[in-house]
Amino acid sequence: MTKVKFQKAAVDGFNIFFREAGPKDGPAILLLHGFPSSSHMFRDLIPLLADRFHIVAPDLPGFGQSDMPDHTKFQYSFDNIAKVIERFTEVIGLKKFAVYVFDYGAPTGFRLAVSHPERITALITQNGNAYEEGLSGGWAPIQKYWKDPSKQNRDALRPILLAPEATVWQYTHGVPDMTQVSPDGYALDNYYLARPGMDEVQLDLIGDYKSNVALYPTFQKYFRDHKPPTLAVWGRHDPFFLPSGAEAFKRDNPAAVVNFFDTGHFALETHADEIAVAIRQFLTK
Amino acid sequence: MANDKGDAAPGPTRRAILVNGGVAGSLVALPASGAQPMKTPHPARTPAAIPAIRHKRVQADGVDIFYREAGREDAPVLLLLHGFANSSFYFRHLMPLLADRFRLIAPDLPSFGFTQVPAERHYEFTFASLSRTIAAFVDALGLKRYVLYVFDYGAPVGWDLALAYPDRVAGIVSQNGNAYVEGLGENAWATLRAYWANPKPELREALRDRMTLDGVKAAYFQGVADPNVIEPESYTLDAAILARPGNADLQIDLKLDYKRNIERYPLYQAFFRKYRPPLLVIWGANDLFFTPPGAQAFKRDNPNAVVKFLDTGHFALETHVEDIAAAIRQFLAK
Repeated sequence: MTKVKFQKAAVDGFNIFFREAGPKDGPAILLLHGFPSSSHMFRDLIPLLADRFHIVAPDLPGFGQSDMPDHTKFQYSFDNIAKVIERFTEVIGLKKFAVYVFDYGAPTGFRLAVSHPERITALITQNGNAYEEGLSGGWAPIQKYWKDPSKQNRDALRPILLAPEATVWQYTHGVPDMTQVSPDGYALDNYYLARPGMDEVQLDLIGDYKSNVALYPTFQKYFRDHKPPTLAVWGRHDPFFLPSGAEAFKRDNPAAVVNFFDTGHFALETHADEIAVAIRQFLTK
Repeated sequence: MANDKGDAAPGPTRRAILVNGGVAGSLVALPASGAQPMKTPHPARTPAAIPAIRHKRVQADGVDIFYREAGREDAPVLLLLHGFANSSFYFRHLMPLLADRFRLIAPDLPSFGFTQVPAERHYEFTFASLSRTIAAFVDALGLKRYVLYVFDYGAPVGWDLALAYPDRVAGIVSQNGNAYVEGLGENAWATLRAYWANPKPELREALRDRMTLDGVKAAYFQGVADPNVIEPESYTLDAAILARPGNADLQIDLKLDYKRNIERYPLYQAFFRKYRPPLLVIWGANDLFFTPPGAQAFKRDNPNAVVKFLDTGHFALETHVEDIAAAIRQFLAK
């Protein structure tokens, strides 16, 4: 069985938990999870790649086993999260790597790529959006908060974002065979979400998601100018990020490969095998 | 075979059955009888697909039991019984390693994992109750023959199941699953023994520490050489479930009820003597709760018992899953 190590890196005083597996001299892949999850979401994918690739999967600041300072002590923005993760890659000595981005991992990973395009060998986006057409109608209450960050609009997001049932829904919506979805992922995610102070952290972050949409043109310029080898592996029934968001990658990078899977947002919960095959075929061309 | 209500329509499992040995260096080799040649795979082909675990629910004894299942429905059954404070999650790495050969079934005991006990059931959280529920579970799935894998609390539950249906027991794997008083580590049991001798409320309260994240975490690292191999979700999920409203108190009461299991050890030992089921005892030697003398003791009533020790602690599957899978495979190949 694949030997995975679980440890923490000290990144300028911030403790970042990460999973690591595979040959250190193999081609590296950085796996960036999303909301409300952690590197645990990659537990089925890692063994399918770690025979050949050096896999590193950190927990983003505020998530999982990484430090979660109070939102009055650390400004939870995607800029700040990306800075910590960029420093994390430097601290652990990752020089060149492919980056797999999912959900919040996308604005994080795309910022890394824009900041240091020479470090990025390939992009794998699994329901990681960079185009406005990918945003579903489900974003309406969030967009309302971006437009007017009132207490009322912020509070309206609590049941959508933070209720345990909302997490379960994200894992199960669009999944044809429910026996494939283990309750472990959402149970852990809900446990982390219930930590004191986590609600304000997450509300700050969803508020800052506005900055990601504002950066879409910058991300797209990076795709156009640098043409990183790009693979999109997309659960087509994702209620947040639509298939058109996946297809859009071909606009700025006509060579982008786009694959759809008959599942929802958390595609790895049901399609880790298929996604691993797609990644291997893509990276070993 | 009884239908289970929670099942999706049966169909081919999406993932291929595991063929061990396809990837040099990262999978354990099969023993000689089933050996596959080690091949360097084409880089585009994944290591042989990992068999899927299915997540199901079934009603038994008025309880909504969650269980994990892997392997073909017509394969020999290996019934996996977890302990405190974990759940069927404990078997997440073991099940794919044996799913080519066995039908692995791992239920969550009431008050653990994702099993749900309705309040209207007025369930009594005692070991007698847990055992009745698991017997009902086995009947709900129509299981007529199985090898029992017992760990920690799964041991008294498994032993009770064996007493209830002795002819169904095809074999036993005890991984730190105790049945002899000499296995009870002196320091680890001191608080409980003090309470049993003198049931004072403050002694009961002293157990509350064990129901916290720090309390459960400590046991995972005890006796483990490299802390970086312990997956944090193991103890985190345990803590998440312990944190459910009312669960900590329930768990304290259940732990105090362990006295009943110790009193039944002679009954379990009589079963071993009478039936002499094939018995593999595979034990994390550094466990402070259930110590090596408890493992060796099985040979007293069952001289053919195979006893193996691993250099690890109580939660041996978290660190030595390949060794345990290989030992089970070899043991049951006979």
